[in-house]
Amino acid sequence: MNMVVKKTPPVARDSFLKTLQKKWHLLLAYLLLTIFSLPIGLMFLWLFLTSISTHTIAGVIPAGFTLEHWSFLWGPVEVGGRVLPSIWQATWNTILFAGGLTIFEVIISTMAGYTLSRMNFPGRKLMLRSVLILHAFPGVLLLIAIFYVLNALGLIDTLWGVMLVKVALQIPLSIYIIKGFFDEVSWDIEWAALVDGCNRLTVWYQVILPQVKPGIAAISIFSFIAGWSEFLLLFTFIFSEHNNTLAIYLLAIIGDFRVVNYGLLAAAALFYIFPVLLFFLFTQKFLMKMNMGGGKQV
Amino acid sequence: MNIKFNNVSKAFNNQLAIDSLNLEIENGEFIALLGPSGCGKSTTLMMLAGLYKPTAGEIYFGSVVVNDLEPKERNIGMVFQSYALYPHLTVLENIAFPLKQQKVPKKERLRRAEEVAELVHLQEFLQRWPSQLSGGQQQRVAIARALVKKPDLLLLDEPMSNLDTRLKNNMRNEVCRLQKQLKITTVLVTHDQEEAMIMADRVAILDAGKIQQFDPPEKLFNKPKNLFVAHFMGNPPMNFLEGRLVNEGNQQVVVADDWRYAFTKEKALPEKYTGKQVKLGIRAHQLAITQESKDALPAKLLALEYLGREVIIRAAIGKQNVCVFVENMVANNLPEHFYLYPDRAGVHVFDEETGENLSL
Ligand SMILES: Nc1ncnc2c1ncn2[C@@H]1O[C@H](COP(=O)(O)OP(=O)(O)O)[C@@H](O)[C@H]1O
Ligand SMILES: [Mg+2]
Repeated sequence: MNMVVKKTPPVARDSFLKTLQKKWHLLLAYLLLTIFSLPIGLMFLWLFLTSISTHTIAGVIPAGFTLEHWSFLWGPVEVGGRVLPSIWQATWNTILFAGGLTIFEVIISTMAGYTLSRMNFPGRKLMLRSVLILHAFPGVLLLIAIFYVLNALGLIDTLWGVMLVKVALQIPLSIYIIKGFFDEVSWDIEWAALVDGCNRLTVWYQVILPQVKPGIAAISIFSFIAGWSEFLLLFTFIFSEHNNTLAIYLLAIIGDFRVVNYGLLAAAALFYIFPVLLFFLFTQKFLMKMNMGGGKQV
Repeated sequence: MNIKFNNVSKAFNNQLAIDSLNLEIENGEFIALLGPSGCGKSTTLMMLAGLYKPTAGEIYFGSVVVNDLEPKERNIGMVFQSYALYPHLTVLENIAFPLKQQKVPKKERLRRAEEVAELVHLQEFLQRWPSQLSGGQQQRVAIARALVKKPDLLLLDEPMSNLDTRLKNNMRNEVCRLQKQLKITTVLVTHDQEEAMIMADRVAILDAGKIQQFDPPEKLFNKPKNLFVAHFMGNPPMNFLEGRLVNEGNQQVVVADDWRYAFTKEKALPEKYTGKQVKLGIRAHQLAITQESKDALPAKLLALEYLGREVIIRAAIGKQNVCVFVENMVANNLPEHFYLYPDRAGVHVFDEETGENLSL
């Protein structure tokens, strides 16, 4: 929002009131947004304070200062008498999972999106529709079937196996988003490149992909965040501790609910969201450029 | 390289866009495809480029049938109406792009790109992005990019239609100069007759997927083959008068309710046309105003349009409206009723049914 707020000269109280009259809707918007986002902001604040406090007063108000809850960063963690492995293994696994997911999705959906947007072949429309239906289809329903498939392939309890499943479930949305971007690229540019000596593959790589960079950024962000926060699939198909990701690690910290160490949980949770938050701050301008519809000639 | 269309047709979803097109282009010739919007000009060009495949017929480059050749195997340069520059490349990289695809070493391709850029006066803009250029400059980049690989055939799809009038004139001259200098066989697509007439050696007039006439501009104007060409060429369009061709004694006459036009012996039409419904076609500058009724058409003044040195007189002959070009002097003090005397060399007779020019 680039609203220009005119400075009011100190002498003219009248004009200040006038400005206020003109801008009251803006003021109202800010007020409402503040009220609605306050609880979320306060919750983050509370999370942070809890993570550096020794105890809480009346169960809610943090008090006392300690860095003990953050000790998982440099030492082993003990929860309910059980010693957990280092959080760095889980962090690395999460990066691997989210990063791998992103790379797979970008490669597959840029190719598929281009094909669906630009080429005419029998079954194209059917494919486009099924992409949409697949997106609407809840992946949870497939858990048992996927279990059998992974088991048969020997991919159960491996990050790669779960990554493939996640890619398959996520790809329809990514294809649909990126296809909208490809639709926007003019045919003239593609034709010009063909005349200038490209073949279909070099056109795609040298000329078309650079035009859909914002779209690639968007699906990368979506995939990375989806991978980072994935829980259900990993929880179901991963059994070994050394294959755990951060989401599962958090579950382990909660332990058996009766003796939850809230300070530790808060610290680990912050550790968990921090990269995503950072990532989002740096990439949000690409997300704002996104055009979800885009579906000319479905 | 000379180019030949042999009965080429192109259908989109069973709709014919181009209908058995026959056309021969000489080596080094500059031809224009001229016609109203939607008549199939771009489709024809795209088939030359290899971006569309003909549904039927053959296209020859020299003696080779190129129907199945990919665009990149044809060595052509093409300029699009939208210029189609690559937004993520600088001007220099845009121009060098075709050479990069040919794997020309980097040093040489930059040198050649700079050479061509100089040809179209772009030296100062080489490091800019396309979005930082004006329309005219963008078009120069597009032309340079098309020329850099020394194509055998240059294709221009309405390249001037996004420029203002002054720039248009400049670019027309420039393109003509380049074409003559480099002697590249060139096909220009346009809907602007003025552009086609100024630039091209020969103009093919296209309508409804068919070539109506393919001749030098002067011939299109003075010897139109049919009603469409006669109507399409010239501004204001040719005047048409409906009548019937009859024999009176040994003279051929076109008669209508309010007027008659008698042919001289030498200009008479073949006998077999007697009795036909015809249209007389006469251009606005080939009618003269007179007060004498002999051999002239009676007209009633409707309106005057001043164009500076000349005036267009709008008048009615019978029920049909005509335009006449006259000098300023003549237009003043024009009575309401007068006669129009046609220049006999400029009278065309068109068959009303087939549109064919019977007087050629
Ligand atoms: N890709 C296409 N798909 C379907 N119809 C097309 C396509 N390209 C052109 N046409 C049709 O072919 C005819 C000629 O189009 P075009 O060659 O673009 O005309 P022009 O360039 O003379 O304005 C038009 O009726 C147009 O609708
Ligand atoms: Mg066109």
